[in-house]
Amino acid sequence: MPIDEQQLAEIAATFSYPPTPDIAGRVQKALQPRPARPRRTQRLAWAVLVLLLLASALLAVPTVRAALREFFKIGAIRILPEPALPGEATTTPAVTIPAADRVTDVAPVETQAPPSATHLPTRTLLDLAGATTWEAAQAEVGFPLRYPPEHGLPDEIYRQEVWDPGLEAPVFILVWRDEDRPSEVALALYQIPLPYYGLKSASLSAISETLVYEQRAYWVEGPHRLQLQTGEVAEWLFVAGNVLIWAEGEVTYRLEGADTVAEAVRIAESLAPHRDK
Amino acid sequence: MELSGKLHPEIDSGAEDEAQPAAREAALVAHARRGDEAAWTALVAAHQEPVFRLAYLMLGNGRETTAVAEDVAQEAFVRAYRNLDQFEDGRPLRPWLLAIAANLARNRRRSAGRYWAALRRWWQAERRERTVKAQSQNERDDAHLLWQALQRLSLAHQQALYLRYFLDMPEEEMAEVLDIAAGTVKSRLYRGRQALQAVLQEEFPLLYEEWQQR
Repeated sequence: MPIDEQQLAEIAATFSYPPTPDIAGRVQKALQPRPARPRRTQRLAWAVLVLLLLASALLAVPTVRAALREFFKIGAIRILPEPALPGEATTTPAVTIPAADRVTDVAPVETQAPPSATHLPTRTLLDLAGATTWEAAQAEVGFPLRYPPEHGLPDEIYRQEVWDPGLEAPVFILVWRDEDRPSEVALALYQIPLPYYGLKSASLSAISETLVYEQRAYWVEGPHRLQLQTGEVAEWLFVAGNVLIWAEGEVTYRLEGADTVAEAVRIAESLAPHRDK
Repeated sequence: MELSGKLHPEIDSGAEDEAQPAAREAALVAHARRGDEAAWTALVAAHQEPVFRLAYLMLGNGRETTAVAEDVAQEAFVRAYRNLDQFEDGRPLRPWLLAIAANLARNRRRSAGRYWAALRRWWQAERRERTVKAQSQNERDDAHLLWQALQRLSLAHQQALYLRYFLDMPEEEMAEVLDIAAGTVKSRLYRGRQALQAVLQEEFPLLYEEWQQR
Protein backbone atom coordinates (compact mmCIF):
# COMPACT_ATOMS: atom_id res chain seq x y z
CA MET A 1 0.00 0.00 0.00
CA PRO A 2 1.50 3.38 -0.94
CA ILE A 3 2.42 5.89 1.71
CA ASP A 4 -0.52 7.99 2.72
CA GLU A 5 0.16 11.72 2.39
CA GLN A 6 -1.96 12.62 5.38
CA GLN A 7 -0.18 10.10 7.56
CA LEU A 8 3.17 11.36 6.35
CA ALA A 9 2.21 14.93 7.18
CA GLU A 10 0.94 13.95 10.62
CA ILE A 11 4.15 12.18 11.55
CA ALA A 12 6.30 14.96 10.10
CA ALA A 13 4.34 17.47 12.15
CA THR A 14 5.51 15.76 15.35
CA PHE A 15 9.17 16.19 14.43
CA SER A 16 11.08 17.68 17.31
CA TYR A 17 13.26 20.53 16.07
CA PRO A 18 15.84 22.19 18.24
CA PRO A 19 14.74 25.64 19.42
CA THR A 20 15.25 28.21 16.71
CA PRO A 21 18.26 30.31 17.71
CA ASP A 22 18.31 34.08 17.63
CA ILE A 23 19.35 34.28 14.01
CA ALA A 24 18.01 37.81 13.68
CA GLY A 25 20.45 38.93 16.36
CA ARG A 26 23.32 37.16 14.66
CA VAL A 27 22.45 38.66 11.30
CA GLN A 28 22.20 42.11 12.82
CA LYS A 29 25.68 41.72 14.30
CA ALA A 30 27.04 40.36 11.04
CA LEU A 31 25.70 43.32 9.13
CA GLN A 32 26.43 46.16 11.50
CA PRO A 33 30.24 46.20 11.62
CA ARG A 34 30.49 46.16 7.88
CA PRO A 35 29.87 49.23 5.85
CA ALA A 36 27.79 48.73 2.74
CA ARG A 37 29.83 46.82 0.22
CA PRO A 38 30.74 48.79 -2.83
CA ARG A 39 29.55 47.41 -6.09
CA ARG A 40 31.67 44.87 -7.86
CA THR A 41 32.73 47.29 -10.55
CA GLN A 42 33.81 49.80 -7.93
CA ARG A 43 35.72 47.13 -6.05
CA LEU A 44 37.37 46.05 -9.28
CA ALA A 45 38.31 49.62 -10.14
CA TRP A 46 39.87 50.10 -6.72
CA ALA A 47 41.71 46.81 -6.97
CA VAL A 48 43.12 47.74 -10.38
CA LEU A 49 44.20 51.13 -9.10
CA VAL A 50 45.91 49.62 -6.08
CA LEU A 51 47.65 47.03 -8.26
CA LEU A 52 48.86 49.68 -10.67
CA LEU A 53 50.24 51.79 -7.85
CA LEU A 54 51.86 48.77 -6.28
CA ALA A 55 53.33 47.62 -9.57
CA SER A 56 54.68 51.12 -10.29
CA ALA A 57 56.34 51.25 -6.89
CA LEU A 58 57.80 47.80 -7.24
CA LEU A 59 59.09 48.39 -10.74
CA ALA A 60 61.27 51.14 -9.37
CA VAL A 61 63.29 48.57 -7.44
CA PRO A 62 65.63 46.55 -9.71
CA THR A 63 65.61 43.43 -7.56
CA VAL A 64 61.89 43.44 -7.46
CA ARG A 65 61.68 44.12 -11.17
CA ALA A 66 63.64 40.91 -11.71
CA ALA A 67 61.11 39.06 -9.71
CA LEU A 68 58.29 39.99 -12.01
CA ARG A 69 56.91 36.92 -13.58
CA GLU A 70 54.48 35.99 -16.23
CA PHE A 71 51.70 33.52 -16.14
CA PHE A 72 49.94 31.44 -18.70
CA LYS A 73 46.27 31.81 -19.28
CA ILE A 74 44.20 29.11 -20.85
CA GLY A 75 40.46 29.17 -20.58
CA ALA A 76 39.41 29.49 -16.99
CA ILE A 77 42.80 28.56 -15.57
CA ARG A 78 45.96 30.59 -15.02
CA ILE A 79 49.30 28.87 -14.65
CA LEU A 80 51.89 30.74 -12.66
CA PRO A 81 55.43 29.42 -13.11
CA GLU A 82 57.40 29.32 -9.92
CA PRO A 83 60.84 28.13 -8.80
CA ALA A 84 61.38 24.39 -8.71
CA LEU A 85 59.68 22.61 -5.87
CA PRO A 86 61.94 21.18 -3.16
CA GLY A 87 63.72 18.08 -4.45
CA GLU A 88 62.87 18.81 -8.04
CA ALA A 89 65.76 19.04 -10.46
CA THR A 90 66.06 22.34 -12.24
CA THR A 91 66.03 21.78 -15.97
CA THR A 92 65.68 23.83 -19.05
CA PRO A 93 62.21 25.28 -19.26
CA ALA A 94 60.05 23.06 -21.39
CA VAL A 95 58.06 25.91 -22.77
CA THR A 96 58.19 29.57 -23.48
CA ILE A 97 55.15 31.63 -22.86
CA PRO A 98 53.39 32.53 -26.09
CA ALA A 99 52.68 36.18 -26.52
CA ALA A 100 48.96 35.51 -26.83
CA ASP A 101 48.81 33.90 -23.41
CA ARG A 102 51.29 36.15 -21.70
CA VAL A 103 50.27 38.23 -18.76
CA THR A 104 52.63 40.06 -16.50
CA ASP A 105 52.07 39.68 -12.85
CA VAL A 106 53.91 40.56 -9.68
CA ALA A 107 55.42 37.48 -8.15
CA PRO A 108 54.06 36.61 -4.74
CA VAL A 109 56.45 37.44 -1.93
CA GLU A 110 55.82 34.10 -0.28
CA THR A 111 56.78 31.20 -2.52
CA GLN A 112 56.37 28.35 -0.09
CA ALA A 113 53.21 26.29 -0.08
CA PRO A 114 50.78 27.71 2.43
CA PRO A 115 50.22 25.60 5.52
CA SER A 116 46.64 24.94 4.51
CA ALA A 117 47.70 23.04 1.40
CA THR A 118 45.86 19.76 1.11
CA HIS A 119 46.09 16.80 -1.17
CA LEU A 120 44.84 16.54 -4.69
CA PRO A 121 41.06 16.75 -4.62
CA THR A 122 40.61 13.92 -7.01
CA ARG A 123 43.25 11.57 -5.69
CA THR A 124 40.74 9.62 -3.72
CA LEU A 125 36.99 9.47 -3.81
CA LEU A 126 36.95 10.61 -0.21
CA ASP A 127 37.94 14.06 -1.40
CA LEU A 128 34.93 14.47 -3.65
CA ALA A 129 31.41 15.45 -2.84
CA GLY A 130 28.19 16.34 -4.63
CA ALA A 131 27.64 13.06 -6.47
CA THR A 132 25.14 13.35 -9.27
CA THR A 133 24.14 11.55 -12.45
CA TRP A 134 24.99 12.13 -16.08
CA GLU A 135 21.40 13.04 -16.86
CA ALA A 136 21.15 15.52 -14.00
CA ALA A 137 24.50 17.06 -14.85
CA GLN A 138 23.67 17.32 -18.53
CA ALA A 139 20.35 18.96 -17.72
CA GLU A 140 22.15 21.69 -15.83
CA VAL A 141 24.71 22.82 -18.35
CA GLY A 142 24.22 24.57 -21.66
CA PHE A 143 26.78 22.50 -23.56
CA PRO A 144 27.14 18.77 -24.20
CA LEU A 145 29.10 17.04 -21.49
CA ARG A 146 31.70 14.77 -23.07
CA TYR A 147 33.57 11.66 -22.05
CA PRO A 148 36.26 9.43 -23.57
CA PRO A 149 34.40 6.46 -25.11
CA GLU A 150 37.34 4.14 -24.56
CA HIS A 151 36.87 4.58 -20.83
CA GLY A 152 33.10 4.34 -20.99
CA LEU A 153 30.80 6.59 -19.02
CA PRO A 154 32.33 7.77 -15.76
CA ASP A 155 31.91 5.72 -12.65
CA GLU A 156 30.80 8.81 -10.83
CA ILE A 157 30.07 12.46 -11.52
CA TYR A 158 30.52 15.19 -8.95
CA ARG A 159 29.06 18.66 -9.05
CA GLN A 160 31.17 21.50 -7.74
CA GLU A 161 29.13 24.52 -6.79
CA VAL A 162 30.46 27.94 -7.55
CA TRP A 163 28.24 30.32 -5.64
CA ASP A 164 28.75 33.80 -6.77
CA PRO A 165 25.93 36.08 -7.80
CA GLY A 166 25.82 36.17 -11.56
CA LEU A 167 28.24 33.28 -11.84
CA GLU A 168 26.38 30.19 -10.85
CA ALA A 169 27.51 27.70 -13.47
CA PRO A 170 28.52 24.49 -11.77
CA VAL A 171 31.71 22.58 -12.55
CA PHE A 172 31.29 18.87 -13.16
CA ILE A 173 34.01 16.37 -12.39
CA LEU A 174 33.79 13.03 -14.19
CA VAL A 175 35.60 10.30 -12.34
CA TRP A 176 36.79 6.86 -13.36
CA ARG A 177 37.89 4.63 -10.53
CA ASP A 178 41.18 2.78 -10.38
CA GLU A 179 40.26 -0.84 -11.03
CA ASP A 180 42.93 -2.15 -8.68
CA ARG A 181 42.22 0.39 -5.95
CA PRO A 182 38.54 1.23 -6.30
CA SER A 183 38.68 3.88 -3.60
CA GLU A 184 41.13 5.88 -5.72
CA VAL A 185 40.63 7.84 -8.89
CA ALA A 186 42.33 6.69 -12.08
CA LEU A 187 41.13 9.51 -14.28
CA ALA A 188 39.26 12.73 -13.59
CA LEU A 189 37.91 15.13 -16.18
CA TYR A 190 36.80 18.60 -15.09
CA GLN A 191 34.41 20.44 -17.41
CA ILE A 192 34.50 24.09 -16.45
CA PRO A 193 32.07 26.53 -18.08
CA LEU A 194 33.44 29.53 -16.20
CA PRO A 195 35.54 32.56 -17.11
CA TYR A 196 37.76 31.95 -14.09
CA TYR A 197 38.26 28.82 -12.07
CA GLY A 198 41.69 28.51 -10.58
CA LEU A 199 45.34 29.44 -10.53
CA LYS A 200 47.98 26.78 -10.92
CA SER A 201 51.43 27.34 -9.59
CA ALA A 202 54.02 25.02 -11.07
CA SER A 203 57.69 24.84 -11.84
CA LEU A 204 58.36 26.26 -15.29
CA SER A 205 60.19 23.04 -16.17
CA ALA A 206 57.03 21.09 -15.39
CA ILE A 207 54.92 23.03 -17.88
CA SER A 208 54.92 22.10 -21.52
CA GLU A 209 52.89 23.24 -24.43
CA THR A 210 51.00 20.81 -26.58
CA LEU A 211 48.04 20.77 -28.96
CA VAL A 212 44.51 19.46 -28.60
CA TYR A 213 42.68 19.60 -31.89
CA GLU A 214 45.45 21.92 -33.05
CA GLN A 215 44.66 24.40 -30.32
CA ARG A 216 47.15 25.32 -27.64
CA ALA A 217 46.99 23.25 -24.47
CA TYR A 218 49.23 22.94 -21.45
CA TRP A 219 50.56 19.83 -19.83
CA VAL A 220 51.61 20.23 -16.21
CA GLU A 221 53.65 17.29 -15.10
CA GLY A 222 54.28 16.27 -11.55
CA PRO A 223 53.52 18.07 -8.31
CA HIS A 224 52.10 21.56 -8.44
CA ARG A 225 49.73 23.75 -6.54
CA LEU A 226 46.22 24.73 -7.53
CA GLN A 227 44.37 27.66 -6.08
CA LEU A 228 40.62 27.40 -6.38
CA GLN A 229 38.48 30.46 -6.06
CA THR A 230 34.96 29.84 -4.89
CA GLY A 231 33.09 33.03 -4.24
CA GLU A 232 35.31 35.00 -1.93
CA VAL A 233 37.25 32.02 -0.67
CA ALA A 234 40.57 30.97 -2.18
CA GLU A 235 41.98 27.60 -1.27
CA TRP A 236 45.36 26.19 -2.20
CA LEU A 237 45.46 22.51 -3.03
CA PHE A 238 48.50 20.37 -3.64
CA VAL A 239 48.18 18.38 -6.86
CA ALA A 240 50.48 15.40 -7.12
CA GLY A 241 49.61 14.18 -10.60
CA ASN A 242 49.80 15.20 -14.23
CA VAL A 243 47.23 17.51 -15.68
CA LEU A 244 46.28 18.51 -19.23
CA ILE A 245 44.41 21.77 -19.62
CA TRP A 246 42.75 23.01 -22.76
CA ALA A 247 39.77 25.11 -23.72
CA GLU A 248 37.11 24.70 -26.36
CA GLY A 249 34.74 27.59 -26.76
CA GLU A 250 33.68 28.76 -23.32
CA VAL A 251 34.45 25.47 -21.66
CA THR A 252 37.80 24.71 -20.09
CA TYR A 253 38.78 21.08 -19.65
CA ARG A 254 41.14 19.77 -17.03
CA LEU A 255 42.17 16.14 -17.38
CA GLU A 256 43.95 14.60 -14.46
CA GLY A 257 45.50 11.16 -14.26
CA ALA A 258 47.06 10.42 -17.66
CA ASP A 259 50.60 9.08 -17.43
CA THR A 260 51.96 10.85 -20.48
CA VAL A 261 51.13 13.91 -22.50
CA ALA A 262 50.50 11.71 -25.54
CA GLU A 263 47.95 9.66 -23.64
CA ALA A 264 46.32 12.80 -22.27
CA VAL A 265 46.02 14.38 -25.71
CA ARG A 266 44.65 11.17 -27.16
CA ILE A 267 41.99 11.07 -24.45
CA ALA A 268 41.25 14.77 -24.91
CA GLU A 269 40.74 14.38 -28.64
CA SER A 270 38.54 11.34 -28.19
CA LEU A 271 35.95 13.10 -26.05
CA ALA A 272 32.43 12.67 -27.31
CA PRO A 273 28.98 13.48 -26.03
CA HIS A 274 26.87 10.67 -24.71
CA ARG A 275 23.91 9.73 -26.85
CA ASP A 276 21.17 7.57 -25.42
CA LYS A 277 20.42 4.59 -27.61
CA MET B 1 18.76 53.47 10.97
CA GLU B 2 16.80 54.93 8.16
CA LEU B 3 13.40 54.42 9.66
CA SER B 4 11.88 54.71 13.07
CA GLY B 5 9.94 51.92 14.67
CA LYS B 6 6.83 53.94 14.06
CA LEU B 7 7.03 53.31 10.36
CA HIS B 8 7.68 49.60 10.79
CA PRO B 9 6.41 48.85 14.28
CA GLU B 10 7.23 45.15 14.15
CA ILE B 11 10.86 46.11 14.69
CA ASP B 12 9.99 47.37 18.12
CA SER B 13 7.02 45.31 19.06
CA GLY B 14 7.27 42.18 16.97
CA ALA B 15 3.53 42.55 16.43
CA GLU B 16 2.00 40.80 13.47
CA ASP B 17 -0.11 42.79 11.13
CA GLU B 18 -2.56 40.21 9.89
CA ALA B 19 -4.31 42.65 7.60
CA GLN B 20 -1.49 43.53 5.26
CA PRO B 21 1.37 41.10 5.78
CA ALA B 22 2.41 41.09 2.12
CA ALA B 23 2.30 44.89 1.87
CA ARG B 24 4.23 45.21 5.11
CA GLU B 25 6.82 42.74 3.93
CA ALA B 26 7.18 44.58 0.63
CA ALA B 27 7.66 47.85 2.53
CA LEU B 28 10.31 46.29 4.76
CA VAL B 29 12.09 44.86 1.74
CA ALA B 30 12.09 48.28 0.10
CA HIS B 31 13.60 49.84 3.23
CA ALA B 32 16.15 47.05 3.58
CA ARG B 33 17.13 47.53 -0.03
CA ARG B 34 18.01 51.12 0.80
CA GLY B 35 20.32 49.93 3.56
CA ASP B 36 17.95 49.86 6.50
CA GLU B 37 19.36 47.00 8.54
CA ALA B 38 16.60 47.24 11.13
CA ALA B 39 14.02 46.55 8.44
CA TRP B 40 16.00 43.52 7.39
CA THR B 41 16.32 42.32 10.99
CA ALA B 42 12.53 42.44 11.27
CA LEU B 43 12.24 40.30 8.18
CA VAL B 44 14.83 37.86 9.51
CA ALA B 45 12.85 37.53 12.73
CA ALA B 46 9.73 36.80 10.75
CA HIS B 47 11.31 34.09 8.60
CA GLN B 48 14.10 32.65 10.71
CA GLU B 49 12.19 29.63 11.92
CA PRO B 50 11.36 27.99 8.56
CA VAL B 51 14.80 28.89 7.20
CA PHE B 52 16.55 27.36 10.20
CA ARG B 53 14.32 24.29 10.15
CA LEU B 54 14.82 23.61 6.46
CA ALA B 55 18.58 23.95 6.88
CA TYR B 56 18.45 21.62 9.89
CA LEU B 57 16.47 18.99 8.00
CA MET B 58 18.64 19.17 4.90
CA LEU B 59 21.92 18.96 6.79
CA GLY B 60 21.00 15.55 8.14
CA ASN B 61 21.61 13.91 11.42
CA GLY B 62 24.93 14.80 13.01
CA ARG B 63 26.54 16.11 16.15
CA GLU B 64 26.98 19.59 14.75
CA THR B 65 23.74 19.84 12.82
CA THR B 66 22.15 22.51 15.00
CA ALA B 67 25.20 24.74 14.97
CA VAL B 68 25.75 24.30 11.24
CA ALA B 69 22.07 24.93 10.52
CA GLU B 70 22.34 28.15 12.50
CA ASP B 71 25.37 29.16 10.45
CA VAL B 72 23.59 28.31 7.23
CA ALA B 73 20.51 30.28 8.22
CA GLN B 74 22.59 33.29 9.19
CA GLU B 75 24.57 33.11 5.97
CA ALA B 76 21.37 32.81 3.96
CA PHE B 77 19.99 36.00 5.46
CA VAL B 78 23.26 37.87 5.07
CA ARG B 79 23.58 36.83 1.43
CA ALA B 80 19.97 37.64 0.76
CA TYR B 81 20.45 41.11 2.22
CA ARG B 82 23.52 41.73 0.11
CA ASN B 83 21.72 40.54 -3.00
CA LEU B 84 18.41 42.21 -2.41
CA ASP B 85 18.75 43.99 -5.73
CA GLN B 86 18.22 40.60 -7.34
CA PHE B 87 14.98 40.01 -5.49
CA GLU B 88 11.92 40.61 -7.62
CA ASP B 89 9.56 43.23 -6.22
CA GLY B 90 6.11 42.04 -5.28
CA ARG B 91 7.15 38.43 -4.76
CA PRO B 92 6.86 36.76 -1.35
CA LEU B 93 10.20 36.71 0.41
CA ARG B 94 10.00 33.29 2.04
CA PRO B 95 10.48 31.14 -1.08
CA TRP B 96 13.53 33.17 -2.08
CA LEU B 97 15.05 32.88 1.38
CA LEU B 98 14.36 29.16 1.53
CA ALA B 99 15.91 28.66 -1.89
CA ILE B 100 19.10 30.42 -0.77
CA ALA B 101 19.17 28.47 2.48
CA ALA B 102 18.62 25.18 0.67
CA ASN B 103 21.42 26.01 -1.74
CA LEU B 104 23.78 26.75 1.13
CA ALA B 105 22.71 23.64 3.02
CA ARG B 106 23.36 21.54 -0.06
CA ASN B 107 26.82 23.04 -0.34
CA ARG B 108 27.52 22.30 3.29
CA ARG B 109 26.39 18.76 2.78
CA ARG B 110 28.70 18.47 -0.18
CA SER B 111 31.64 19.84 1.72
CA ALA B 112 30.82 17.29 4.39
CA GLY B 113 30.70 14.72 1.62
CA ARG B 114 34.24 13.59 2.28
CA TYR B 115 33.09 12.16 5.54
CA TRP B 116 29.88 10.79 4.10
CA ALA B 117 31.59 9.16 1.17
CA ALA B 118 33.83 7.29 3.58
CA LEU B 119 30.80 6.18 5.49
CA ARG B 120 28.75 5.27 2.47
CA ARG B 121 30.05 1.79 1.83
CA TRP B 122 30.19 1.03 5.49
CA TRP B 123 26.63 2.23 5.84
CA GLN B 124 25.38 0.20 2.92
CA ALA B 125 27.06 -2.92 4.23
CA GLU B 126 25.77 -2.64 7.75
CA ARG B 127 22.64 -0.54 7.47
CA ARG B 128 20.26 -3.42 7.88
CA GLU B 129 21.80 -4.53 11.16
CA ARG B 130 21.93 -0.99 12.52
CA THR B 131 18.41 -0.25 11.44
CA VAL B 132 17.03 -3.24 13.24
CA LYS B 133 18.92 -2.22 16.37
CA ALA B 134 17.66 1.33 16.10
CA GLN B 135 14.09 0.22 15.67
CA SER B 136 14.22 -2.11 18.63
CA GLN B 137 14.71 0.80 20.97
CA ASN B 138 11.64 1.44 23.02
CA GLU B 139 12.07 5.18 22.90
CA ARG B 140 11.91 5.21 19.13
CA ASP B 141 10.54 8.40 17.69
CA ASP B 142 8.63 7.84 14.48
CA ALA B 143 9.24 11.34 13.19
CA HIS B 144 12.95 11.02 13.83
CA LEU B 145 13.04 7.65 12.10
CA LEU B 146 11.16 9.17 9.20
CA TRP B 147 13.86 11.83 8.98
CA GLN B 148 16.52 9.15 8.99
CA ALA B 149 14.73 7.34 6.19
CA LEU B 150 14.40 10.55 4.19
CA GLN B 151 18.13 11.08 4.39
CA ARG B 152 18.53 7.99 2.24
CA LEU B 153 16.79 9.76 -0.65
CA SER B 154 18.27 12.12 -3.21
CA LEU B 155 18.59 15.72 -2.07
CA ALA B 156 15.96 16.79 -4.59
CA HIS B 157 13.41 14.37 -3.16
CA GLN B 158 14.39 15.22 0.39
CA GLN B 159 13.96 18.92 -0.19
CA ALA B 160 10.53 18.46 -1.75
CA LEU B 161 9.29 16.21 1.03
CA TYR B 162 10.68 18.47 3.76
CA LEU B 163 8.99 21.51 2.28
CA ARG B 164 5.63 19.83 1.77
CA TYR B 165 5.24 17.64 4.83
CA PHE B 166 7.61 19.03 7.44
CA LEU B 167 7.19 22.73 6.73
CA ASP B 168 3.62 22.32 5.48
CA MET B 169 4.28 24.44 2.42
CA PRO B 170 1.70 24.75 -0.36
CA GLU B 171 2.74 23.33 -3.69
CA GLU B 172 2.57 26.74 -5.36
CA GLU B 173 5.14 28.13 -2.96
CA MET B 174 7.24 24.99 -3.33
CA ALA B 175 7.39 25.63 -7.05
CA GLU B 176 8.97 29.01 -6.33
CA VAL B 177 11.47 27.62 -3.85
CA LEU B 178 12.49 24.79 -6.15
CA ASP B 179 12.22 26.94 -9.28
CA ILE B 180 10.20 24.30 -11.07
CA ALA B 181 6.71 24.14 -12.55
CA ALA B 182 3.77 23.33 -10.29
CA GLY B 183 3.21 20.10 -12.17
CA THR B 184 6.78 19.11 -11.58
CA VAL B 185 6.27 19.66 -7.86
CA LYS B 186 3.49 17.08 -7.88
CA SER B 187 5.55 14.54 -9.78
CA ARG B 188 8.59 15.15 -7.59
CA LEU B 189 6.52 14.62 -4.47
CA TYR B 190 5.04 11.47 -5.94
CA ARG B 191 8.41 10.05 -6.86
CA GLY B 192 9.80 11.12 -3.51
CA ARG B 193 7.08 9.24 -1.68
CA GLN B 194 7.72 6.19 -3.82
CA ALA B 195 11.42 6.33 -3.02
CA LEU B 196 10.61 6.82 0.65
CA GLN B 197 8.33 3.83 0.64
CA ALA B 198 11.08 1.66 -0.84
CA VAL B 199 13.52 2.82 1.83
CA LEU B 200 11.01 2.23 4.60
CA GLN B 201 10.20 -1.24 3.37
CA GLU B 202 13.82 -2.22 3.05
CA GLU B 203 15.50 -0.46 5.94
CA PHE B 204 12.77 0.52 8.39
CA PRO B 205 10.39 -2.45 8.18
CA LEU B 206 9.04 -2.05 11.69
CA LEU B 207 8.12 1.56 11.12
CA TYR B 208 6.61 0.71 7.77
CA GLU B 209 4.48 -2.10 9.22
CA GLU B 210 3.33 0.19 11.97
CA TRP B 211 2.24 2.77 9.40
CA GLN B 212 0.33 0.17 7.46
CA GLN B 213 -1.56 -0.87 10.56
CA ARG B 214 -2.65 2.62 11.52
